[in-house]
Amino acid sequence: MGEVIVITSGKGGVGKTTTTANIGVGLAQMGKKVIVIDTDLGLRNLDVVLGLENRIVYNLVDVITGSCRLKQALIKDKRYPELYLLPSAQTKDKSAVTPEQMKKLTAELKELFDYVILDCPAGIEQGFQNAIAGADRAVVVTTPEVSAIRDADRIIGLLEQGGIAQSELIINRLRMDMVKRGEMMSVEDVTEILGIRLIGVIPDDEQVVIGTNQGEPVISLSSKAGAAYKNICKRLTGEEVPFLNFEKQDGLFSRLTKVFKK
Amino acid sequence: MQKFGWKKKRTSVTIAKERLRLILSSDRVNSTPEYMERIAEELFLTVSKYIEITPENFTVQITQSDIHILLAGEKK
Repeated sequence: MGEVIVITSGKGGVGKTTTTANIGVGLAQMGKKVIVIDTDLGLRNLDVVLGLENRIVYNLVDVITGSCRLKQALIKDKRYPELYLLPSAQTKDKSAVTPEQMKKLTAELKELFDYVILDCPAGIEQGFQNAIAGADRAVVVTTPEVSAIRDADRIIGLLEQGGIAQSELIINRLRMDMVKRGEMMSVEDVTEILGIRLIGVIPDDEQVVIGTNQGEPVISLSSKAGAAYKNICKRLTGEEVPFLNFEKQDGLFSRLTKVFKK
Repeated sequence: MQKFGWKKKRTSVTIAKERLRLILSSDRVNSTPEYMERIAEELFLTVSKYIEITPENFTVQITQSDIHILLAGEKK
C-alpha cells in the first residue's frame, strides 16, 4: 500500500507546485510508481510545470463525479514511465469536490501507487481541506520570509487539527549570500521558529524558471535546485542524506543533521 | 568595515525574528483554544506554588502585550 503525501504551504507562490512536480519526477526516477494530483480547482498549474498541458482530456472533477474512469484521466509522462498526472479542472471551482470524495479517491489510489502526491492550493478554505483529507503525511513548503513563515505556522497548526501530527519542512529559495549578510533568515532561524522536522533546503535557482519555461522539471536539469530535490526524494523514502554544502555554516551542519535525524 | 562593539549590529533579520515571535504567539493564541488552555494550566500550576488558589477563582487573559492573572475570592 502506498503513501499519500500533501504538499502545502498556506502562502501562495512559495513553490508547492514546483515541489510536487519535482518530487513526483524524482521518486519516479527512483523506480517508485507515483501519481501527482493537482487539487487547485479553477487554477490548473501542475500540468504546465510538468510540460503536460497538451495531454489533458479528463480531470480530477470528471473522475470524482464519475464522468470518466480513473484510467482515462491519468496522463502518463513519456519521459518518466512510472509517473502519472491527474490534472485539475480549469473551469470548475473549489466547491465541486468535497473532502469525503477526496478521502475515497486517495484511498483507492493508495492501492495502485507507491506514492500519491497532492499539490495543495494556497489558502486554508475548502481547497486545503480537500487536499489534506486523505493524506498520511504533509510536507510544508516555505521561503525564508516573514509572511511565508507566518502562513506556514498557521498551516502546521491546521494540519495538526486535521490529524496530521508530524509535518515536514522544505525551505525554498534560500539565498546564502543574503543569509551571510544578515538580510535573510537562515535555515536554523526558520526551523527553530516553525519547530518541525526539516526535510530539504532548496536554493534560489534560475534553472527553476528556465525549467518551467520549457516544461522540464528542474530535477532533470543540471542544477543546484535539482540536486536538492533529489535529496528530498531520498529522504522521503527514509534514506538519511546529509544536507548539501551550500547550506553549511560553521557548525550549523552538525546541528542540522541533528534536526534531521529522528 | 563592520564594527565589533558591545552592541550587536541590528540587521533586518533581527527585526524579522522579533516581529515573527510576536506575530506567531498572537496567531497561535487566537487560532487554537487548546493553546490558551495549556498556557492557563501551566500558569495556574506555577502560581499555585506561591499562592493558594483554586481553578474556580483563577483566570488568565492575554491581551496584545500583557498577561493579566485575576484572582477572585478571599485572600489567604
